Amino acid sequence: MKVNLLNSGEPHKPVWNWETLKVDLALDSLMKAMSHGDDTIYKSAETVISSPLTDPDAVRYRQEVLEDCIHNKGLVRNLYKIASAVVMRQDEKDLIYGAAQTASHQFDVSRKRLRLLIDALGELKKFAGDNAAIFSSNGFRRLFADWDENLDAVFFEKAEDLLKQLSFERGMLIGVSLSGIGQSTGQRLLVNHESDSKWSCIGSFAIVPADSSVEDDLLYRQETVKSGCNRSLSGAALDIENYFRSLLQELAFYIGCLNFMELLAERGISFCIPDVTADGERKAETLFELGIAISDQAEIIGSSFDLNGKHCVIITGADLGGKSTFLRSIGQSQLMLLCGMPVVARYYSAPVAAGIYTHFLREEDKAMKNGKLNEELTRMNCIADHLTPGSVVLFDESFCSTNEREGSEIARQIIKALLETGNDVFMVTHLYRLAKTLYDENDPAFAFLIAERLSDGRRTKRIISGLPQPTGYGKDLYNEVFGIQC
Amino acid sequence: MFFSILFPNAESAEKSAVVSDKFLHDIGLSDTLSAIARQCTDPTLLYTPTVNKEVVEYRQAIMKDLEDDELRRRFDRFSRRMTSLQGFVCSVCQESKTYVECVRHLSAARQYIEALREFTLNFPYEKIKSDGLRLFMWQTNACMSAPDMVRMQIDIMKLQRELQAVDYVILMHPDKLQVRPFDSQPDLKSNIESLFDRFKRDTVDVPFSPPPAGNQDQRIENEVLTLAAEHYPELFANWRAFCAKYTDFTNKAVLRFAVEISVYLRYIDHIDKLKAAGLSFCYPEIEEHPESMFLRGGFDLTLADYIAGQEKQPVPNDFSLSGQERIIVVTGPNQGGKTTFARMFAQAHYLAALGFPIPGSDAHLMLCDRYFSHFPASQSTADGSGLRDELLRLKSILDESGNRSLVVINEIFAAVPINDASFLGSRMMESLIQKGCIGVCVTFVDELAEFGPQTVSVMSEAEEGDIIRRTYRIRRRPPDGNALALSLAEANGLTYERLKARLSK
Repeated sequence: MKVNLLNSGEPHKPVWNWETLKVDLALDSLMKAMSHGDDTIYKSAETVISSPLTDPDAVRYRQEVLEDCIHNKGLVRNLYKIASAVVMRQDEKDLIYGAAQTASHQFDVSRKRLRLLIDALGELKKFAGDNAAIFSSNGFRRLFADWDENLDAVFFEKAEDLLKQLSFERGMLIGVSLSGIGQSTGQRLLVNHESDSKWSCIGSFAIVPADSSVEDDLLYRQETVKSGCNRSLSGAALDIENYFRSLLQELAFYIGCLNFMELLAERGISFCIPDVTADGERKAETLFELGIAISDQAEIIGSSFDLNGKHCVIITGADLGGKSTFLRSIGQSQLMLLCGMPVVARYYSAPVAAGIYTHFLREEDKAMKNGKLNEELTRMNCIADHLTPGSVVLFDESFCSTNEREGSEIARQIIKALLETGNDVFMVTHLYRLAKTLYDENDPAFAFLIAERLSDGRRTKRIISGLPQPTGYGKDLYNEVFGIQC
Repeated sequence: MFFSILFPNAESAEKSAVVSDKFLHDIGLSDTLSAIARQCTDPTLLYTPTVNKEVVEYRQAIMKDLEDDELRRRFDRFSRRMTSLQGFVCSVCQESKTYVECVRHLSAARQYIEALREFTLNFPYEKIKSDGLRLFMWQTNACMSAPDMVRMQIDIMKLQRELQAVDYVILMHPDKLQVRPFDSQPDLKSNIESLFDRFKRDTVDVPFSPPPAGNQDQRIENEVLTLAAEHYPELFANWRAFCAKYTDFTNKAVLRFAVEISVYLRYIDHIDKLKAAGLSFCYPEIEEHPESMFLRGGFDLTLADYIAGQEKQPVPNDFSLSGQERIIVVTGPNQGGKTTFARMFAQAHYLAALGFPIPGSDAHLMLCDRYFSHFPASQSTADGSGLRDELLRLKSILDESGNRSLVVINEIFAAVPINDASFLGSRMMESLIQKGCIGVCVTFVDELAEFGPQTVSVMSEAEEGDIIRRTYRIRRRPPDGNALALSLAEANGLTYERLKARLSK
């Protein structure tokens, strides 16, 4: 049996640059917003987001499940509670179980665990019986069909009988074979459905309770045969628990999405389930950067763009104009789309990507731009080692740690190579020479955006279409800071 | 008739050589021999060199046979199986009363037979050249085909087959046990597994308490077997009859062989490691009164073991004695391999007298009847009692030695003035020559090296260069009193040229 709500290949292995992405795209705040303090959700969100899908059908599969969740919020949260109760209870049990010293103790613990787990499976079965018809996504339909097939009446009947066997009400039946030298071997527990009459006229050995060495021997025999079942028994309990665990984990991701959407709704921010488009179509209406959407900033401005047919987007313009924020929102929305999540925009469409790579200037680097080129190139080299064609690569002020001519040339060659191998590039830069050179090529696959600056020097934080600009208007900032009027 | 794998006959086992106290320690063999001895049940052989040429040849032939990998593997496995069985087999040499005893009895008989059968099955007889192994194999085959043994094998097989067919169940209640033949009751474990298989995904490693170790009360086992016997009366009666019939079924010579052969095997294992590292071993020709003696490519076995760990090899050395020559006098720089040479000489003779292959590529040696060593006492005393002790030890050697003795003398009289050392050394040499023993004398007294036609002078060599390098080669050559001082000066950069060059900078 397999929970298949996420429909991702196993095992979930984080993408190579996950830790970098987490920082560069401020994903921690997203996962916190999703989890609402529930650690299970945080972990599940991290597992899912750190290994984005690449297949458009898989993305649509999750989007359908998400829509089912949106329409049946209460039911889905109930199912989550059932799974959560089992897992929490078992985690407590683990404490006791960890201390199991003898085979008998472990045997009893496993038996009790199985009792609880089989009851919980009954709850799942009942949930499906009551609600299955309301769900329409493939994901939930497959889940319920799986339960129908595997958790049928025969299963529960056999399970009850087995639990009875495990308590040895009618004595312990032990099978023994003799070895070639007459030694007892292969001692194992047998199912005891024997009628008492079979045993009535057979010789027996009476156990004298006071004889401690006889008691020890009997205990030893019981330990031995129980130990023979223990691996299967605790294995079974563990397997069922793991089933509940994966149900919990997979639901947790969707619960996280619900939480996130509720938070946005409270703040009056639009979100949507994005369209997965064919290659190159990228379009947004009021796309928000996550950090801004989640925080309590008063002034919120989304970006709208239509970048259909564009594979390389160069963003130039005023400092503090919102270029990096814009770049981040591109990365975030692309990643969230790939995970089957809602996107913070009134409308959003983009193709799937093989991977997302960021080459950002780190906070700590910004102060000291000298002597960093080698470090930057090393990072780029690393990205190139891992890059799969069809990826989205985001550059924020890359290769500026040398002079403009060299930096531009390095960047130009890298961009060209990336484009020609089928990747999409977004680059925030103030390498004017680079932007100008690319602009002059007149290639329709290129788009040039600028951070809007009004003629009085005010930044609107809007990113609009525009020609590469030779200045970041740092002078404006200087003037502003020093209170000099134009 | 097979007597023993160590001796061709009873007479030859009677006499062995005299080995003086600390001889093995002095010649550096004690660690190596005890390492081998630790792996043998009875290592006596290692400490009793023979004086009988016939014995040496008997053992050398066996050793040569055992150098064949297949034969060695076969004898090794047989030896290990039989040795581990020994105590066990002896404990059942009487009739077994209880069923638990019957289990042990049958097990011992079966293992004994199996070890023999496996050993003799498809045995490559054509590979055996030695009298010792050939006789043993003949004896073993005779023992295997003796009517009693054949009958016992058949009985074991029959019993084994019938016992293996027994499957029963125990019904265990808190107050009683009952036993009945197995009636195809389903297995609880497979029931669990098949019911919950649907939840299985990957194989997860489940932590589980292992079964408790041992400590089964044999009484309950006996009771259970007694209850089972009610359901299989004929079989259990046959089993008891078997134990009554075959009480003492082992062949003592076979058991002893298994113990004794292990010394050969462990020695071969030991030298195999060194052979793999490229060192040579050879079977020396042995004579009680040889015309001449030699060893080519000899080395110190213990040193070779020791430096093999550092992936190094000892420098091989030769010696030869012919005509009147009896005593090798070694002089030369310190740390030049003089003591190692003396040890090599003594080890070669000792190992040869065990009948073992010795370090070297070719050798012709004397079979000695006494082995003496005189090495500096570990704690030398400055008050002169050291010299007294040295002389006492020397006297007892000289008193006991004869023309088949081997004597190794290392740095004797080192703590007395050179004139005294020269005088005492000369008296010692005269005695040794008069007794006719063979030996090595390591000394710094050059005069001893040219004492007459009975002595051979050899020197440890040093190569001169920027840094002094010991070659550890020992060559026939008259003594050269300057070698030590020059090499030390060289090593310290204080030769004329070196010092001048250094001071001119």
